[in-house]
Amino acid sequence: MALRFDQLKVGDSLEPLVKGPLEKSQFVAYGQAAMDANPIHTDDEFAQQSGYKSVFAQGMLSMGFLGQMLVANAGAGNVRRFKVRFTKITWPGETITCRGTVTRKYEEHGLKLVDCDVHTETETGEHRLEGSATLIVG
Amino acid sequence: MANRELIGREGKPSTAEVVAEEVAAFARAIGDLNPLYVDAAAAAKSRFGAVLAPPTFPIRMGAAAGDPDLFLALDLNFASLLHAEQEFEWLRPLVAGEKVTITGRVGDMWEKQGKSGTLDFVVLEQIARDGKGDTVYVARTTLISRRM
Repeated sequence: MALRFDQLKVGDSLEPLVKGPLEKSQFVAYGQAAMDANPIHTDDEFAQQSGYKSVFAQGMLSMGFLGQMLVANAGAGNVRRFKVRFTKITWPGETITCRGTVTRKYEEHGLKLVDCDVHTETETGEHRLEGSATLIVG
Repeated sequence: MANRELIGREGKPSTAEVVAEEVAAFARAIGDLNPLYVDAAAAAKSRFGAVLAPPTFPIRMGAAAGDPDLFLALDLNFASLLHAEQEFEWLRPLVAGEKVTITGRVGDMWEKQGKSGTLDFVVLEQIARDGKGDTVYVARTTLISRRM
């Protein structure tokens, strides 16, 4: 795949992935596919009664975007560990860029591993999800 | 509320199968058209031999696997629940047709004083094991609940 252990350096950026603009229909589709029935992501009236301006993306949908970015970089089956904090809400209409930066490279249990910081950000650079991942890199 | 005696308690295990059509629907909903997820014929020819579960698919696997008794024992304010963090640890790839046994476990619990009262933090783990008893993945969900 794109990442090569011998060529990677701490501080290197992963190839980013742009998603969106996000549509409310995508939240409905994800809710069905993930069996997440929370109407706060699919019913504007319910979301407004709960104090939000509209429906918003499932945190797990955004984490799925980050997962897509990680697999595009490291190859399928090579995401060893993956953790995020749902720091801010992601709204419909937003275009989200998934980014990652190498923080450590090492060998463990005979595997060549790379740790990365990952996050999603809006067009204005505001972070939404923040986290980290460990990738197996050949 | 944060009853720390619950840490380590396990729920009733349940069995879940990775279904190729469910993986494809999940990946499509993310907008991820990787042939390993959405094209069974292409996936069959890959080194995985079948449709592969994407990194966040355990959230779908676990949606129906939770033990309600374990969840209710946490005695949280369910109306205020927030999904604060999510982690997946993968020990090996998981493909369509495989069955795993999923066991829920209270990984950790603590409380914190917020501006508007007490917040309870709970880490719920789901451990998926294959037929040989080997762990395939561990999913950790951190929930925050505002105490009533």
